[in-house]
Amino acid sequence: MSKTAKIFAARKILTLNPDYPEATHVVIKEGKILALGSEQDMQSWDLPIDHQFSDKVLMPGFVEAHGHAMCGETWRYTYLGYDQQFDPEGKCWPGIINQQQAIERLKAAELLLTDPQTPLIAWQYDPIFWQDQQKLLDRWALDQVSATRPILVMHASGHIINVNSALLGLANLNETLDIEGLMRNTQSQLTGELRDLASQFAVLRATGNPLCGEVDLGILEQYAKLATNVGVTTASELYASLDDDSMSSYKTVSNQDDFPLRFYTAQNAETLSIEQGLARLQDAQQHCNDKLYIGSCKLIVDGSIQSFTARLEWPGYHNGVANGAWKQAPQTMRQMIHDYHKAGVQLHIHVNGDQAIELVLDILEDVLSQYPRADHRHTLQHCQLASEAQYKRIAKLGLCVNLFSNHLYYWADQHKALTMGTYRVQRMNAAASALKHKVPLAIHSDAPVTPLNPLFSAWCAVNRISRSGVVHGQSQQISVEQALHALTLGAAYTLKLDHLIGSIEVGKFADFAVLDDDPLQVDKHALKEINVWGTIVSGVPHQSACRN
Amino acid sequence: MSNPLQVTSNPEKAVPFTVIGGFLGAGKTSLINHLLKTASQRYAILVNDFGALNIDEKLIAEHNGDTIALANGCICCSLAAGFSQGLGLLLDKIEQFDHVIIEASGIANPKRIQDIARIEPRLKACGNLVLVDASALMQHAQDPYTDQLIHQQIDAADMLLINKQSLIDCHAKHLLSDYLAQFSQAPQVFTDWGHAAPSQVLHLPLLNRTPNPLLEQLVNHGLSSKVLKSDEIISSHKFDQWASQLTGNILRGKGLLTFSDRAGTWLWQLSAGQSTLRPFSDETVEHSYALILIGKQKALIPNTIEL
Ligand SMILES: [Zn+2]
Repeated sequence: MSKTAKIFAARKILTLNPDYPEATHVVIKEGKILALGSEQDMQSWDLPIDHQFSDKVLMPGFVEAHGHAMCGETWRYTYLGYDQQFDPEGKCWPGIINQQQAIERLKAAELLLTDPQTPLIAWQYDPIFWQDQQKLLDRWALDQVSATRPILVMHASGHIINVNSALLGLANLNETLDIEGLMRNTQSQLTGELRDLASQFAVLRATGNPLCGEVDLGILEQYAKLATNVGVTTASELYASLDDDSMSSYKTVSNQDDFPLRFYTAQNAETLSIEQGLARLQDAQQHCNDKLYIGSCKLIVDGSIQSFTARLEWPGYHNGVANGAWKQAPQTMRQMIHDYHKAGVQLHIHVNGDQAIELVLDILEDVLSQYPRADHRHTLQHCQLASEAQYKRIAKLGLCVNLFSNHLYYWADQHKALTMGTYRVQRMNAAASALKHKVPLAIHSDAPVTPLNPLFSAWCAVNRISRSGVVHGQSQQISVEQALHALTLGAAYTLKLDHLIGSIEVGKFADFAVLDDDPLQVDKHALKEINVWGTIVSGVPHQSACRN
Repeated sequence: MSNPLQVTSNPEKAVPFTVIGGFLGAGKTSLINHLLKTASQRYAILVNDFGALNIDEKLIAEHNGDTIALANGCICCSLAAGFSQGLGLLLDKIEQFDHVIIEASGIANPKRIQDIARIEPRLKACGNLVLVDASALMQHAQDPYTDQLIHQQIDAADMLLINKQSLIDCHAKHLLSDYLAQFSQAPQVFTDWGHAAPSQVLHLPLLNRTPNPLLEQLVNHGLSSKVLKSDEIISSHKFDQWASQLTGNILRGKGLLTFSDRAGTWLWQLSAGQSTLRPFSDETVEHSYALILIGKQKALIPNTIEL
C-alpha cells in the first residue's frame, strides 16, 4: 500500500463508473481512491502530483474471474504451443508449428538440465494445427532430443501425453501390454502417445506428478507477474485446494505489503465430502485479508467441448461421436448444489454443454424454490452453449455467467468443422444474449488453458474472429465498452468483490491497469495490440516485464 | 532421484488388485465394510469418490485426516489429493499389504483403473467387480443422463454382483439377468447387503472382452428397452407370427413364455434377426409371458404381443 497520499495524473482515466465516466486525475490515500476529477478539481487537495503516467490511460485493474495459479507453474517447463506466448519475465516464445522446431526447442531446454535423471517436461503441444501430420512428436522424434533422459510432453487439450522411449521404459510401458489408450502405429509399435488414465498415471508418477494443480510460493509469484504484464490486479484460482501447505503460500504472499495481485479462490469441492469442504472453507476464511478472498466453491459438471466430453442435448456432436461424460453423477451433483447452497456458500459451476446447463438449471430451480437466498450470485462458468431459452431461465434464477470467449479465436474453426457445425458455433459464448437478458456477464481466459490477457479476451468477445480470420456469430458480438465492463466490474460482481474493485470509485482499492492507449478510441480490431505498461495495486505501481 | 518404479519386482510377490465399481446406491461401501469385517488379510482400500469414507466405526483403530487405520492392519483412504498422488503414495509402501481394493467412483469406468495393475509389475490385476442395484438398474439404464456410464460399467465387469436382490421378484430377476447378459459375459451373482465371500469376489479371472455391437450402438446413438409382461395366455403360433415381424428397430429380445397350445415354459431369444424358442422347464411361470426388448427407438418398440 502506498503510505503517503498522492495524486496520479493521466492522459485519461476510464472509470467504468457511469456517474463519472472519465477523469484525468485520481487521488489516492491508504491504498484507496479518495477522489477523482480534472486537473482543476485537484487544486483543493494539497497533495503531490505524480506525473509518471501523464501520457498513459488508466482503467480499473482487470479482474480474471476464472484462471488457475497453474499458469505460474507451466513456465517451469518448455512451451510448445502453436501461438507465440510471453513468459512471466516478458520473454517471447514463438509458436511451434512443426516437428523440427519442437525438437530444436526441446534440445535447447535439455542442455540446461544438469542432473541426467531430471525429466524434461513440455506443455501446450498442439499438433492439430501442424501442417505435416506425418511428422509429429512421437517417441522417435523425442528420442532425438534424448535417448536417456525421460521426456514428457503434455498436449494443449490436457488429455493426451507423449513420451520418449526412456520414459516408456521407466514407466514399464512395453509392446506386450494391451491397454486402451496406449497408442500404436501400423506396425503395432508403441508411438509414445498415451490417451488413458492408466498409462498416464504411470508416466506422471515416474516424473514426479508435474502440473497436478498444487500451489507453492513460486507459483503464486509467477502468476502475479503474468497478471501484472497484462494489467490484471485481481486473479482467481478457481479450483483451489485449501490444504495447509497451499494456505500457507496464499497467506505469505497476501500479507506482503507490496504484492502486486489480489487472490480470489474457489475451493475445489470434488475431492472432499461436503462436511469436510464446509469445515475447510470455514478454517481458511479466517485468513482472508485485503489481498485474499476465500469463501466460494467450484463444482464441475461436465468436460470440455474440444475434447468431446461436454454433455450435449440432441443432436449431440456434429461429427456424431458419443455424448460426453459427467464429472459427477447427476444425483451427486444435485446433492452437492443443494447442501452447499443451503450452507450459504456461493457456487461457481463449470458447465460447457447445453445438457449440463439444463441439469444445473433444473437443480437450481428446485433448490432455490426450497431455500430462496437473496443475492446468491451462483455463477455458471464457461457456459459456452447456453440456448436462448436457457438464458431466460438463467436470468429468472438470478445466476451470473462467466463466458470463455477466448475459445472463439482458438477453436471456433474446429468447433465449426467437428464439434458444433456451422449453425451452433455462431452462438457459442453468447455474450450478447447474456446482456440482452440482463444476466451479469464476466469473460475469462481459464489460464493456462488459454493465455491470461484481458485485452485479448475483450477482443475475442467484441470481434468473434477465429484463428483463420472468420467471424463466427456476428449477432453475438458485443461493444468494446461492454467487453471492458465484463473484464472488470462484471468479473468482480461474479466474485462478490464489486464493492471493492472493478471500477474507479471513491472508497474502492486504488487498483489500475496502466495502458498506452485508450481502448475506446482504438479500432476494435486493434484492442489486443494495446501495450500494457503495468498495473497499480493499492496505489503502488508495478511495471510489466519488458517484452522481448 | 530415487525412483520407486526402478525397483525390479518379483512377480510372485505382486500384490492382488481389485476394482469395485458400480453406480451410486449399488452397495459398494456395504460390500467393503463386509469385506473388512471378515478380513484375514491386510487390505489397502482406496476410495476414489469424494468423501465416501463411510467405514464402519467398530473397525476403526485410528482416524487421521483422509486416512483410516483399521484394527486388522488394513488402511482405508480417500484419494483427496487426487487419484495419481493417492495411489502413488500407496504404491510406495505396497509391501505392507496383501490386497489392494479400489472403490471406484459411481461414474468411473473400472476398466481404466484396472489397467494400472496390468502396467505396474508390483500389482496383479484381479478383476473388476461391478455392483448392480437390482431395484434401480433398469431405471438408471434407461435414463439418458446415465445410460452410457451404466452400460460401460456393466461391460467392464469380470463379475456382476447384483445387490438388493430381495427387493425384486423372481420374474424381475430373470429379466434383469437377461438384460445384463446382452451386454456382458461376466458371471452374475445375486446377493443382499453386499454380502460376498472374499474368495468369491476378490480373485476374478479376467474376461477376454470382444467389442459389443450393442454397447457401441448405445454409446453412440442411444438404446431403449421395454419389458413386456402379461397374464394373457397366447398360442405359440400367434407368438411366432409376432416375433417374425419384429422390425430392424429391435436389436435384441429375450424372455420366458407359456403357451395355450404347448406344455411347460419356453425361453425365447432374438439376436441378429434370428428368433429362437427352446424349452426352458416343465413348470409354468407366474405370468404367461415376461420379455425384454432392446431397440433403437423407444416409440417403435411394441408394448404387447399384438399383431
Ligand atoms: Zn478452469
